[in-house]
Amino acid sequence: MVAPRYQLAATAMYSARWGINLAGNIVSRQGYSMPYQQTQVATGDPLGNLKTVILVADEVGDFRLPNVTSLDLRVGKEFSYNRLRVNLDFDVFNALNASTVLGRQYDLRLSTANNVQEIMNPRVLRLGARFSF
Amino acid sequence: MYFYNVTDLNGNGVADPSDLAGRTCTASSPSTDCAWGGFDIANPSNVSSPNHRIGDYSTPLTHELVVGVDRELFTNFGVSANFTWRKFVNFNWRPVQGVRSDDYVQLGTVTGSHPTTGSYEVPYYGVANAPANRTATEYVDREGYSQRYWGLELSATKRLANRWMARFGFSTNDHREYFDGDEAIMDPTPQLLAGPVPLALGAYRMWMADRCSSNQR
Repeated sequence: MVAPRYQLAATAMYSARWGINLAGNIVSRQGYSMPYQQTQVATGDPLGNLKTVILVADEVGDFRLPNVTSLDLRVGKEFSYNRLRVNLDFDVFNALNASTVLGRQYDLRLSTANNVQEIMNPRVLRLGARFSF
Repeated sequence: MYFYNVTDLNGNGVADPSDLAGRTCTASSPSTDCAWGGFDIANPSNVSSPNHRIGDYSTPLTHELVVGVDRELFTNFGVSANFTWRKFVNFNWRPVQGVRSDDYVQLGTVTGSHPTTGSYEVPYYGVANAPANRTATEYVDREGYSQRYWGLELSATKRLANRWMARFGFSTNDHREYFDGDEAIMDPTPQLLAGPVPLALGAYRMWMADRCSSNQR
């Protein structure tokens, strides 16, 4: 697998009134390459008959999965008493609820070739508490 | 040496010597009965002519150069840039003894088509003359093989002031492997091999084209 060639990331936080913090994080990157291949090619090679042959026209990165973009958001508030601090956070991961394809069946020998095998996790909400002392 | 299908006679969950008593393993044993490795089972005490040999090799090296610059453009706002260049050399590997890419010839072509990729036509290769001992390998320098990486990272940071902060980052990279000569590769068939190294088929094909034209000359 050929890794993404580029990635963008942006993070921002705003400290609002009453100690409430608003934050967001967005990451976007190029998709991994899709190494379409044919397994169990009978080549007749005395040192290894069956081979998995890459089936790409030119560069192995010619076929790529779509770009992956994920947006995470947070609303949090901190309560403090002497040295004790309590942070209550409400997070939204994958706020856009993107279902970008992360993996396919690349073996064109199979009838399931190119079927989707993995997508992004769905939107996740998390209510968390952190104690610091 | 491994024995398969051993019966745990005393039921203690351990393969005791008594469980293995009477079992033998020879070169003619079926593969479902036992397996071995690292020595000649027909002559286990032979140390004069090992199946594998260690040739000349050196420690793999990574040369790295990083150039970075940071600058505060405005109050509470700065930018930075880093460029990284790496050259990976002195790889070693364990190919079959004496077999390199110039021992391979094209044996055929994989052809077909798929709605996703369109039609494809990829040559595959095999050794023209199989070596006498196909399992004998050598641990040597991988001559003519190297990798090159470069990466660029840009970032802008607004530090926490006036109740807000932000950071923006961008990175890009290019990591390729190079095969300069017949010694750099064994089987020229484009295959997906394990490991983090990207397959630079463009570089590979350029080398193959050059090699084929050289052979024709």
